[in-house]
Amino acid sequence: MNIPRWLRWRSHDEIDEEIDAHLALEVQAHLDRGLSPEEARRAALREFGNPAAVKQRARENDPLFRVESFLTDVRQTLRSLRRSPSFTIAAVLTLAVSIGATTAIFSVVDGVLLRPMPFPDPDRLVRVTLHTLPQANATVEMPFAELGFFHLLNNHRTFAKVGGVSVFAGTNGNDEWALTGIGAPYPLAVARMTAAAFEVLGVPPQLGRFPTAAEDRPRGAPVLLLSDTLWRTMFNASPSIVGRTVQMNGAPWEVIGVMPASFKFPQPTVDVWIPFRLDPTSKAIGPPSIGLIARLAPGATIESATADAERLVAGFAEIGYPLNWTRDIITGKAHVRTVKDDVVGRSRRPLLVLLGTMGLVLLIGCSNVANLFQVRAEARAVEAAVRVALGAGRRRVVQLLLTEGVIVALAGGICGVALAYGGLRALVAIAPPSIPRLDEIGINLTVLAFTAAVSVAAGLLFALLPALRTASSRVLSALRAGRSGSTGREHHVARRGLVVAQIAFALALFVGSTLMVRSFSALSAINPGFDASRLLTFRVAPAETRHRDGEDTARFYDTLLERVRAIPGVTAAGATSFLPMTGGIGGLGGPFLATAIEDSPLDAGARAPNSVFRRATPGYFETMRIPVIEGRTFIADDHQRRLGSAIISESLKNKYWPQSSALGKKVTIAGAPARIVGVVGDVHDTAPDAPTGPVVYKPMLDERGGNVRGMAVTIRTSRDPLEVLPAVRGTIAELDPDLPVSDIQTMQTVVGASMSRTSFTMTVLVLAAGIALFLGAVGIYGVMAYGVVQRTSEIGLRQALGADRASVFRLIMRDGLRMDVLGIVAGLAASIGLGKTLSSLLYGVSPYDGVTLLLAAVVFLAVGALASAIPVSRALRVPLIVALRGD
Amino acid sequence: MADQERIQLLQGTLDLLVLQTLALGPVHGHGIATNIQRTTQEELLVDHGSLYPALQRLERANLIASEWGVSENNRRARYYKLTRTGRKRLVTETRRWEATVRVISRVLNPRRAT
Repeated sequence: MNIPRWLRWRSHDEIDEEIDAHLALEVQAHLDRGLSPEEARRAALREFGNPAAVKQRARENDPLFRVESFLTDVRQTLRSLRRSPSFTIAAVLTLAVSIGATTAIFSVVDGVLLRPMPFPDPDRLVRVTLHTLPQANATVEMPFAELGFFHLLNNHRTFAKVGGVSVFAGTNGNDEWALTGIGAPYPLAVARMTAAAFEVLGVPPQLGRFPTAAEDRPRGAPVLLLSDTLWRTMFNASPSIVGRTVQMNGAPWEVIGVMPASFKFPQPTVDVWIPFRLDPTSKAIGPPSIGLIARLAPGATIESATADAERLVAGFAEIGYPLNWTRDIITGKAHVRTVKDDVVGRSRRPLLVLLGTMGLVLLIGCSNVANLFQVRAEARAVEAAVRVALGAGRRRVVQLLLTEGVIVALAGGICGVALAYGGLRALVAIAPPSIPRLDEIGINLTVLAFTAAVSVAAGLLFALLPALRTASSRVLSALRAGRSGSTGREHHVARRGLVVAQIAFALALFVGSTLMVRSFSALSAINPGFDASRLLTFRVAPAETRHRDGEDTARFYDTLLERVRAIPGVTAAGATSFLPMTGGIGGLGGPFLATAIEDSPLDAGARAPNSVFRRATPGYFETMRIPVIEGRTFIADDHQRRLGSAIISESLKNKYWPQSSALGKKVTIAGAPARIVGVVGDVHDTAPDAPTGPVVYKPMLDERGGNVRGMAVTIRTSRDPLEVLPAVRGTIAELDPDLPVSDIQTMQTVVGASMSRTSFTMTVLVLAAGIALFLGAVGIYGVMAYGVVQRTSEIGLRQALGADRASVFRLIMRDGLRMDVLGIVAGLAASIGLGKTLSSLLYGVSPYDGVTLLLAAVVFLAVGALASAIPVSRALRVPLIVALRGD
Repeated sequence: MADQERIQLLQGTLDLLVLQTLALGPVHGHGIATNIQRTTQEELLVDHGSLYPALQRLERANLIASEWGVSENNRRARYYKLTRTGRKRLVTETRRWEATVRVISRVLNPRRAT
């Protein structure tokens, strides 16, 4: 790394030669005056000063000197860093972790929570929902039914424009749609949007146009808009796609446009948007499935819009909303919030907790880096003093220490960036799909810069403090203090304070993550009401064009299930309109419908609850192993002969017939009365920790017909469920080669996905706690090791004076443990203080759980003891004479 | 601290003295030092060490030039000489110095002033 000779203004040799010549002449002059050679040399040197320093100063005149001295510093630093690998590794690792992990997490939070939604003027874009009575202990928000939607649309005073949106196929939908006529059917997530909704959102298509009002009427022309993804994967991003006709479920649809990649409304999975085709003149109530989005009118606020919406909702009873809806579902309350709040909603708290967690890790990391650098710089204070004494300029010395700081910081920073990228990718991979806007997440450069700046600044600041002290000419005292010297009590206090804080933070994180782990295991231990092992599930939806009516469709399912049961390895098969734990409208696990109950000892007013409505085939309960409490499960006659039978869940039975049998009692749901033929166990519908709601099951057909198109097929197998998949696919292809099969997964995957939010939070917290525990241990170890090295001669002296090893050991250990205990106490206090924040994320464990707190205290006591014991016992092994010499 | 004060005091003056010494012809570093000492009758002690950075500074400012030559004791030594700009600078600096001295001494000693 030397500067090439030709680049130099004057070579070092030339400078040396010139100065040597000068000295020779001076010596000669003194010799001529009659001094002895020795005296002459000394006189010459006295006159000249320190030749080495002069040469150095002459060299510093070179314009390239700064570059060169920097290169020298770099070389020297690299050498000295190689000589102390533990410091280097600890510092680089700490920096990398605090920069990398914090950036990764913050990028997720920023992508999901902070960045504005990709709509123009997103703060004026709101979503309106109806507030329902709490179901069990969870409040549910309902979308609008057609009647209510138009009532609001026609009478509001606070919105500039109102639109409706609904996802009705694919994820969260309950119908199956697919591109057809292209070989194997390609399953689609389809969203319906009113023409106005496109304008409310305000994102223009990248190709083509929005639907017109004429196309958004009943029996309007079948038109659709493609998502960017579908356009690229299925149509090779062909610009001539607009105007072409594609087949969807066997029917022709004209492509009128392609939405941009950034448009992901109402959810990222949507492939196709079609006009809603609502009928404004209709007096039908319609199912509650219209999500209402609107732009606030100029001057309107969230508050005034809420008041406006509630004024209209209060009048729902008069316009003909069903009585039990107005009483049970609608409480006259409405929610108006920005689309962002609506989308982000439930993810906010876990993400903020994670953000806080990472903030703590960053704090711990910074204090660790500060500690490491301070210890290092103090150890080097002597070296710096020696350099000054030997003629190095103070600026050079400071520069050298600074160079070291910068190099370590750079290495840490680079590793940190790599870690941030890798970590972010890993986080996005393990993040539950329920976290919105995941695909918008990228490394946030501002955050990267911020965390890097903070942690590097911490390192440099502490690297420089001792350097500056050295520079302020306390050379002599530093030299005298030597290796055994300590650099003052105040630094000890600062450093100990840092370590105590580190332990406290790390312990709080440890408690948090332990609580999450315990929540997760409690969640996993819940009996979901069915047996999830060795269950294969998928959704199919026979096309209307092939199976004209309900009876035809029901026959299709009968045949399909019969053939599937014949496949070797299949022990049972059944189908249901809505699979448990797959979310659904409003997170209710299926359509949530008014239910009229007769023959109950409860009074009439109370006998009109809302229940989750499902259809099920014979064999479904047996396949799922949902226990039968009384009566029977469905048989083929139930739907084939339209017996008008129903099966209810245990909680519904217990509410209305707590003492007596429910069999033979009448229940009316979805407009058709039915007799209860069986009671089955409760099933956790939306998630393992979600309350079990009342469910009414009906067969595929009843007096009112029944519209079973899309169903989830469940198959119990005697071996790995995925092994029977090829045979099942073959069976379906035989029956209907155009039938799309989607959402193929094992039931265990479904259950796992429903817990993914908890497991995601848990994974990150456990990671963070692990990092924090590690950094905390490094902190104690670093400070203890340094302190012990400084007290080596004291240890030797005590031993020489007759103290036995054990008492010396205890003496020094007490020091480390005091820090540890202080940190533990502070950490426990912090954990208890933070308990409230965490409690909504926990399941089955209190945030003040004594066992967890005790465990944390014990673990940190052990870690602290270990981190202290290692340097102490090493010091005790130092031979007495070496220890006494103190060097 | 004392060290720094002396350097500052000598900074401008040393340059002037070096230029003046070189006005008589090419001289090497040691020659410049002894020359200054001799002409000031040893009253001004030249710090030989600070001479070389000064020489380099002057050379970089293009006021003097240097080349290798042979010294009186037959060693290779670097000889410095004034450049044209150096000569001009010497004239202007000398004038400014004299003016400064005149003004300062008038202030310090008003009666003796002319």
